[in-house]
Amino acid sequence: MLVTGAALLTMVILFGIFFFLISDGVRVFGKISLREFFLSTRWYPTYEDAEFGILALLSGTLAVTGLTLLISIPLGFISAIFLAEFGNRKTHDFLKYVFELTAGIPSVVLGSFGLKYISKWLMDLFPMKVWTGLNILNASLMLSVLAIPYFVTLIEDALKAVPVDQKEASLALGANMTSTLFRVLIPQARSGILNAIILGTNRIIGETMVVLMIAGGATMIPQSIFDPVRPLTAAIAGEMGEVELASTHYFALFMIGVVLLMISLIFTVTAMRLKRGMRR
Amino acid sequence: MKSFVTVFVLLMLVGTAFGSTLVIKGSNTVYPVAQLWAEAYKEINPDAEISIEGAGSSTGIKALFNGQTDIANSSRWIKSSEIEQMNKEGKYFIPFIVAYDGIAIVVNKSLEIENITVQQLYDIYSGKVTTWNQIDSSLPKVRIVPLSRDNASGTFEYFVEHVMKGEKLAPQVQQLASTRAEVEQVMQNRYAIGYIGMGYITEDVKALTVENIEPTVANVNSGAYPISRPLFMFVDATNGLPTGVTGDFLRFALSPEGQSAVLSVGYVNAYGIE
Amino acid sequence: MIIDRMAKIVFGIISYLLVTIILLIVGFLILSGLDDINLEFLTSFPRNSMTEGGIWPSILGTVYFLSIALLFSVPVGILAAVYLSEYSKENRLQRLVLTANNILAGIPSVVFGMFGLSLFSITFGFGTSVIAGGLTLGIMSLPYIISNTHESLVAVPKSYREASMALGANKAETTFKIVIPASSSRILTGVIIAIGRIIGETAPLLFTGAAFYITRNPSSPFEPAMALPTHIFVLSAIYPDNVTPKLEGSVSVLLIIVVALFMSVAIRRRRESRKMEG
Repeated sequence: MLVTGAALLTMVILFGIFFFLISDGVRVFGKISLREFFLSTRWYPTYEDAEFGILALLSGTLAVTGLTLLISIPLGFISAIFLAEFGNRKTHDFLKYVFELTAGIPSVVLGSFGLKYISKWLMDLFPMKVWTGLNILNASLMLSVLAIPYFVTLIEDALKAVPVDQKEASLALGANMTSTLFRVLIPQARSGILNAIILGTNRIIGETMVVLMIAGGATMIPQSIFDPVRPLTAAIAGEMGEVELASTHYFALFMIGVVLLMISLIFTVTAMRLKRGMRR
Repeated sequence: MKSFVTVFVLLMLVGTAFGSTLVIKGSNTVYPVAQLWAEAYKEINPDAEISIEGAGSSTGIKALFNGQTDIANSSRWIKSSEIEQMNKEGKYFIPFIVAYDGIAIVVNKSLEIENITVQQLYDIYSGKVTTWNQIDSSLPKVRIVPLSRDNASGTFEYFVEHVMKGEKLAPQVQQLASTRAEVEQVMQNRYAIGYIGMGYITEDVKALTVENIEPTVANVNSGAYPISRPLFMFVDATNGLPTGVTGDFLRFALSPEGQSAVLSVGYVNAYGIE
Repeated sequence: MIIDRMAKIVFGIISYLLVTIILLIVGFLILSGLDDINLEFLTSFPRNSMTEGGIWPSILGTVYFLSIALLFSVPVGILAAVYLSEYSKENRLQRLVLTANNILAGIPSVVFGMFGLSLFSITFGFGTSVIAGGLTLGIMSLPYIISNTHESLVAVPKSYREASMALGANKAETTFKIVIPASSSRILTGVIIAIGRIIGETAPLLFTGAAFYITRNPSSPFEPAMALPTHIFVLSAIYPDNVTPKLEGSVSVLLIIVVALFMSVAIRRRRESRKMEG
């Protein structure tokens, strides 16, 4: 029936995405060895003697993601706790509205903001350390703006999902709200929180425009948060428009897409497994 | 829901098609002048419809092969692999030089340097030289911040071929998505250096002389300025020289009026201006 | 208790601080572009290397892309959600569909862009066109519409369905005439949120649908169009400083639209919860 067809279409689309990306992506290994692709830091796709190593790009993704998580998880956590347990109705609605709105801010807008303002601000603030304004820190700050609302919403949901009687029992026994929070609610919401972290990380890894515009674009392995990097998504977005169809470069970019696809697959499935565990 | 569909259909009908669209694709460097020409051309020929896309020189040439564009903008010469493909498919593309673009080397206004040599540029971008005092001992021992376009750009290709002689850029060279980002970074960062098309020079940055030649229109025209390149529009001439709107548009671009417009975008005219 | 008070204050300050920073950024971006927004800006084509004129083709293009995206994802999404909530049992197939949907939701936008390029632009031969870009955006918005609609349908009390069947309606009639209308408000809210999310997407359109400049708006879905987010990207990337005012104006317009969309969502939600309380 039509309804089943629509549902199956979802699976068809998913399969299609994997198929198209993988079939074009693996063709890169006709010219490049697996070892070079994954372990070399030299990414020079447009030269006569081209090299296709994604290690530096991967390290860029990891660096930006790591710093973003470091910034946004604690902040998101605190806000989620506040929303779930401490706020009154009006506060709650207002804050929630702002966080939801933030998740809708187009990343290209944040990118142009970081380009123009954060870059200058960073260089003015830390002239000794910051040798270029487009770096991991800049990108992570802007990414945090996108990531925090995500964490806030998901963690708040996780906290709210803990059965109310748990909370009430603890309070009835004389514990105050704070220790109830830390000793009862959060441990009980453990897998929901983990789920939130996993999904949020997935979202950050997949971000494109922000890192394209402000992460720095240097294909190098960073040594500090003030170094510029070039994450995987930025490389694709920057080079896809110019690449020649069915060239090694084209296949290499698709292979990067496969890598991203696999990463998001692992994260999503892990989160789903966790959620199922939570129900039991 | 119904009103939404009505509005949608009406909006779709608002655009009507008179004649066919001239499609132009390719280099982002050539794009600003192509857009200005499109505007001016449409004023003279109101029935003309033109669509321009960027993305890069290779995309334009690729589209020429696929028959998806009438004109391919390119900031580089056609590659040998593309010539091979031309021969294989029995096609014949011809280039029109539509303008010249000098590559300007820019630094922050507070940096006390006025000139640079091509060799020094090579040293900086290949990573052999990393601090400013190595270029000029009167400059402080601070890390040089070399900026570049990313490898989708024809400007990048030209720089690699003519300044770097094919040598690969050092890993710490930042490949930025746009010339504008380069300019802004140079404005903000006292120790940055970048290469940009002459048209992007603003009074907020300092353009160096290269081998003691200033990046001016006259110097590019006379060939004195060492790093400048022609900008091309390629067309498919397999069946003869371009006719119709394509031919007319090109004629306009190369006319004195069109070439004067080149100057207003910051490039250098290839032919006489009015 | 003191510690509770302290916790509340500290957490509250941090939360409000975050919110304030965000609002400041958004407010700043909207305000700095406001003086460039006038009727001419909204209704005319860019002129003079984008230093004059307006962003009408970008606005219209965005509407076109969104329309095609929604024309695909709303019907398919609702039907798929109906399958999940009304027509399937808790079996393997249902779990597979749910899993597929979740995975789709987590895929990065560039990957969708590459898929759209590979499938719609190249294999189907649509090239750079409204339909290629629109379908790509449609696929991106599908998972969210499915999960939101699913939640909305499940929230409709069982009694509605039972009553309808008891009165002699079959499953299809029950679903489409009773259950869906009952949850329509929430479904619509979900669609608005989906719009809010994809209206700012740049990467997928860059590869599949967006032109940098066109002299007239597309007369068919098989031609390229301009779009607000790609226009913003092009302005900040390709043109030198003298286009700054247009850039700020475009950013302003896009942000205002996003703020308006989410405000309408918040208002709808308020109305919903008041209805339930009343």
